[in-house]
Amino acid sequence: MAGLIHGCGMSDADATMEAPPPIIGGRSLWQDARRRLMRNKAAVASMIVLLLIAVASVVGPMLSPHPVDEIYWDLIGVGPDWQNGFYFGADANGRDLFVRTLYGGRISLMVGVVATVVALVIGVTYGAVAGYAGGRVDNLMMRTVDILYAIPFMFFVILLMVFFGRNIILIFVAIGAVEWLDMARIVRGQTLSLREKEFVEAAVASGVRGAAIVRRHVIPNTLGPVMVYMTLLVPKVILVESFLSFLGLGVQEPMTSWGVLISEGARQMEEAPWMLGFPAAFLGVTLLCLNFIGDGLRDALDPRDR
Amino acid sequence: MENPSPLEPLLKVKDLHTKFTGPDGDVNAVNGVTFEIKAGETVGVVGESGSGKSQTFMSILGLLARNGVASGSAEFHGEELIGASNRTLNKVRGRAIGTIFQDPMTSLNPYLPIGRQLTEMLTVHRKVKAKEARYAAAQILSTVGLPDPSAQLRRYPHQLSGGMRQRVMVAMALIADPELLIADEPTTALDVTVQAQILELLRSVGRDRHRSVILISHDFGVVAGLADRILVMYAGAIVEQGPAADLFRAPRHPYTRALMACTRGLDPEAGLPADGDLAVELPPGHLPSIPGQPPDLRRLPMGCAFQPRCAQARARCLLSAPENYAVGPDRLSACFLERKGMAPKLVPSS
Amino acid sequence: MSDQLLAARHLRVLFPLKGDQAVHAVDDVSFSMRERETLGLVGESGCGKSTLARAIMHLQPLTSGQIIWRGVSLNALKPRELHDRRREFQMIFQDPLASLNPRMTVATLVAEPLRALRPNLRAEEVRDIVSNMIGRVGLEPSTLDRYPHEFSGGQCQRISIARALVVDPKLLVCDEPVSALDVSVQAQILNLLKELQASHDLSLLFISHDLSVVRHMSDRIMVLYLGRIMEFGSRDRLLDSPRHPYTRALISAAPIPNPEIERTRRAPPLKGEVPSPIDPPSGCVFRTRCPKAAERCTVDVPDLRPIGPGQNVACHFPN
Repeated sequence: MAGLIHGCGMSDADATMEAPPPIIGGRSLWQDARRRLMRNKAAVASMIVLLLIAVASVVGPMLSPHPVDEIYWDLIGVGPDWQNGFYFGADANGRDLFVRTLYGGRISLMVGVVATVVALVIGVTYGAVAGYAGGRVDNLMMRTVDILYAIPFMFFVILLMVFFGRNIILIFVAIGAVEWLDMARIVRGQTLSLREKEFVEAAVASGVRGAAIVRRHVIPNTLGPVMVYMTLLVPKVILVESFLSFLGLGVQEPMTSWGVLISEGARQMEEAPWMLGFPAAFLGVTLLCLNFIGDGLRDALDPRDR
Repeated sequence: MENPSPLEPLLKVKDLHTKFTGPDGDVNAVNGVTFEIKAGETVGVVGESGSGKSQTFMSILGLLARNGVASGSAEFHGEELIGASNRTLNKVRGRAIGTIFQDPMTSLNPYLPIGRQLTEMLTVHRKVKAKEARYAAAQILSTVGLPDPSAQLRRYPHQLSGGMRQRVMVAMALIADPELLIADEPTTALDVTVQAQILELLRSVGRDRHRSVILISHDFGVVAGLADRILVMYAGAIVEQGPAADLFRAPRHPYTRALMACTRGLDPEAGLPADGDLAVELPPGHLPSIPGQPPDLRRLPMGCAFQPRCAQARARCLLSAPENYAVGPDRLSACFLERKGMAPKLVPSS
Repeated sequence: MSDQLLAARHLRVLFPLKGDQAVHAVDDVSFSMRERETLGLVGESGCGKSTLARAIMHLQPLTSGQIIWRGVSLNALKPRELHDRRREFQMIFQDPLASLNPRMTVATLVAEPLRALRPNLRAEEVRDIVSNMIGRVGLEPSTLDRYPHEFSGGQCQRISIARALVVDPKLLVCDEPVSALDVSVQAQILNLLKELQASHDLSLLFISHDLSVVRHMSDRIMVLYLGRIMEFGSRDRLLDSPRHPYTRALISAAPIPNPEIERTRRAPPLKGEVPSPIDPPSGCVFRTRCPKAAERCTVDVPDLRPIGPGQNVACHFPN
């Protein structure tokens, strides 16, 4: 039985036999995760619903015959009515609640996205730098975070409002400025464990230095938990904005948000429950969808499945 | 321990199949495994990763992960274990069959002192009273070579070294006096000098009480010193089995021969007669290797699973999987090459 | 001395703990390496071989001692100068998959050392070198666009080797490169390393707990125990006539795939286990397990002394 063993370690036989089943392009971990996410029915349904709400918020007010701030004197306090086109009824000032609800969606969703992105950018950078630097730098940075945690949020926002007036950009900044703290902590924790991984050691051995390691090796590998946290942060931000508006510190007329609408609706709760009901339902559904998507993302990105 | 009839095998496994459902397709971990274990013999099960050597015994013990399903038959003293109820399995596990796993740190409960984990085996399985159980626990710790056994009873796993923990594992497996001991890669995580100690221990454990031992390993060297018989596994099936001395002296199946050549290539001391063909092929300083890699268990080839890497493959090997052919007394090899004019196909004994 | 690549002098790595205690990972290790030779480092857990590897690679700072690379003391260099020298020594790691960033393609991974250490190369040049190297390690070009998790252990290790060699280093530190691989694949990787060593004029610092693998690869072997060198010499002499009791124990403990030899075994295995590297035993660190231990061994630390041509032992009572 001659020719039994192939001696050369580098024969072509090795190369051709070792190729994995042909797939066009590589199958990255993100693609794997996306596939898993798509199989999660709740998450997919939520994404569709969210998309519909978003599209409606943008397009609805443009298509509606009733402008956002137009007052219809004879419809003040009138409930939902399919025939006259006021699907959600009118608010306390006689404006079309349907249009206002959709319009409010623009603001609420925008705050959610923008403030979260702000928190993300600041938090991830801060956390990754602190975690990678370690030692005293890390200590200093994280103690700063602890101190900032201690500042009462409301106090901070009110201060900002007093100094700069009620400005929508300001609201984004205020919210983002507070929410990055959590993100920083999470990313720092991730970074601490990533720092010890062999592929980071290998990169250092390959001559990659500090900032490049953080940028190319650490941050991309923290994005999993970061993305999950983000989808759970957006609802939180929307709620914060709603709360601010509820208190009267939020957006100014004629702009409106779900929080403002809920605030107004709450005052009319007994006589005109629809004024509270519809905006609250939109808010509730949006938050639910975001939570489902967050759960789905977490399952999809779970390293246990790999 | 009852002395079983010497003629009846302790464990009879017939046509065992195990599948794991998964998102990327079902993993066929065990594909038609048939073998017997007699009382008092030590059997070595050798295979690389993906060979199914661990999953075979996990299936028999009912310890499969939630997405695993086993079919076929595994009779222990005539009692069917595949698909048996938890009650039946619990009676057998621990009491009649003891198990040792690779990593003692994850097999031992870090929150309980080891004395407690040992006595638990007795109080649960043999309904022994606490005080007697403690005495037995100290005895068994002494048997496995732990110094100062009574003091050790109070210690926690993390206070012990790796070798000592593995000895505790052996003690736990033995304390209920099982007839069969299954050791799955018991020394892989240990230093080589400690491995030698544990292997010595396992050898005495089998000899002493006429106990059967199944030693699973990827290392031929580890089983060489202990096994009476050897099963060689590849891609979820047994490709060759037979008495250890025979198998080492004259391996038949191409995979066995290739694997042994790889192992021996590293060990000139192994000293067995060169097969002649090996020495010729290699450039100086090169080790024999097997090209390619083990098959994807989700997509097993239609014919022989080893065929893609086999230098002897013929057209026949692509079309169907070989049966187990007798190649000597108590020797089987699953390779079509054995067919040519040799003993007739062996029907698996019922 | 012209082709002396690396000289390590009295290397010490200690990890301080609370109070006065410290983990003695590497304790007074000195050796040198020439071009095109393979030095095997063998030892069990706690012997400090991995720490030593990282210290040589400057991934781990030294507590004391000097590393002299091609005549230049690396300790004395500024970070910038050290960075420039990094392309001359590279490393491959034990866990094939863990040493590759799961989010990067193979092409990016293999190109990374080039980008960091030879930034003046143009993109096409980088691409060429990378494709060439992937072929040299026996992988198909389609490998480049894929991700590490799509490959087997052996293939991942080939990718790591490609990455390490892409900057054409003179020394490759191999930290247990085949320990996590199946036996049949181990041989492929070892053969590959030998071929690349010849074609690339490499020296290898080959670390393993597996004596048979070290035997196959090395010209000289260094045996470590608890951070200290026990024996050091040419491979054949060390393995055929080991002088240190620990070396003998290691050799006899290694299982041999031959039942006739295994069953009529020689000496009983070494007793006990490796003591903790936190405050190791006084005098000779091996004395707690040594069959020959005497009074003197508790008090005097044995020096590494030549005991024959190309053989050095640290023992008061060598064979």
